[in-house]
Amino acid sequence: MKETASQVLRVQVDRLDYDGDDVFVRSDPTARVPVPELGRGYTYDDGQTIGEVVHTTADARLPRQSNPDENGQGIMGITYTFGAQACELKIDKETGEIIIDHFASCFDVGQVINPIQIRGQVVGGVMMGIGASLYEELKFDEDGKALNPMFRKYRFPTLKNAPEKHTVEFVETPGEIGPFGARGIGEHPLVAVAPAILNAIYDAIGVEFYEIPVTPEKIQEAIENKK
Amino acid sequence: MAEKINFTVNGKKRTVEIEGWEKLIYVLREYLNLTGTKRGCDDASCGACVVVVDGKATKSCVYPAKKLDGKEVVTIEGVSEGTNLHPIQRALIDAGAVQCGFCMPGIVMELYALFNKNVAASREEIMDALDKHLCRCTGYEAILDGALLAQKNLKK
Repeated sequence: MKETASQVLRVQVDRLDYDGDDVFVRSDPTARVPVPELGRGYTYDDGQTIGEVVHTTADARLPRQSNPDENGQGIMGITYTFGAQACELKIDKETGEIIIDHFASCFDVGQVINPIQIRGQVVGGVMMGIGASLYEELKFDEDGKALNPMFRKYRFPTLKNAPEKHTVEFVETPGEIGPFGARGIGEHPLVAVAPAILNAIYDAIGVEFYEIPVTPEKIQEAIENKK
Repeated sequence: MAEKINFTVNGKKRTVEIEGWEKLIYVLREYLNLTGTKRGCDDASCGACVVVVDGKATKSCVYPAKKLDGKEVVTIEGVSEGTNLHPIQRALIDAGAVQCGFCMPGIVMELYALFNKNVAASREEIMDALDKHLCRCTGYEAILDGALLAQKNLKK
C-alpha cells in the first residue's frame, strides 16, 4: 500500500507511515490516503488505476489442538460433549406403525446457559433423528431424477409424529474453553437417535435393522418373515 | 390479461393489478412488500405461507389471487400493534417455540384464526391445526406448549 501511496502522494516510500487507517507522510500527516482507496490499487478521477491489490492471510489455532501423531491420535476437537439417549416405543403388529412413547436424552454440556433454548436444541435434534429413522427418504429413479421432492411425500415429520414425552437432562462438567465452561450441543442430539430406535425395535420384535428409514411396510415384512 | 382486485389487508383497503397467474403469496410478498409471510414449499406441504382470509387460515401459496376481490386478509404484519406483541406471539416466545422463526408466521396466523373462531378449542383441535405446519428446529414440543399458553392467556 505504501508503494501505491508513494505514487499518489508523490513522495518516496521510506517517508511514509501507516496508522491502521491511512498511509500518510510522516513529516506532513495531513497528506494521507485511506486504506479503502489503496486496497485494490488507487483509482484516479479519470478512471486510471495504479498499484497492486493487497493480499492478506490470517490463521488461528485453538488452544491444545494438535495434529494426529504417528498412531493417528491427537486432539482434533477442542471440546467434547458426551451423552446418552434411549427410546421407549410400541409397534402396531397389524400396521407396522411405530409409536414413540418416551424419548430420553442426557448430555454433559459443561454449563447450561439458556435452559429453555437448550431443551429446544435437544428436542429439535431428536425430532430430526426420528424423521431420519422412521419417515424421511428421498427416492430416485434410474436416471437420478427425484421421485418425491415434496415435504409431504418425502416425508417430513409433523407434530403428531413427535414422541408422547421427552425427558431431557443435563450434567455440567465445565469444559476448558467454552464461555462459563459451556460445551457444544447443537449437533449431538441427533447422533444416537437412530441407534436407540433401532435397538428398541429389536427389543420389541427381535428384528435387527441396519438401514433407515424403518417404515411400517418394512416392519410388516419383517414380522411376516419371522413367522 | 391484467385485472384489478380490491381487497383489504390488515385493515387497509388495497387495489392491486394482477396478471392472473399469481397466487396470494406472490401478491403479498412481491406486490405489497409484506414479506413476513414465508415461502417454504410452494406445494401446500409446510404451512409457512398461512395467512387468514375471511377468518379462515389459508395456505397462500396455492390460493389464487383472482379469488381475492372483496376479501379480508390478515397477515403476520397485522397481528401486533407496533411493538406490542399479540398474546399468541408473546406466548410462543415465552414457551421457547421460536428458534429460527421461519415457521412462526404461519403458525401464529393458524392460531390467530383458530382462537378468534373458538378460544376454547380442544387440545385435539389445536393439535390438528398445528399438524399442518412443519418445523425443523423445535421438534414441536415447545410450539404446542406455546399454543396452550396462548389459549390460557387469551381466555383471561
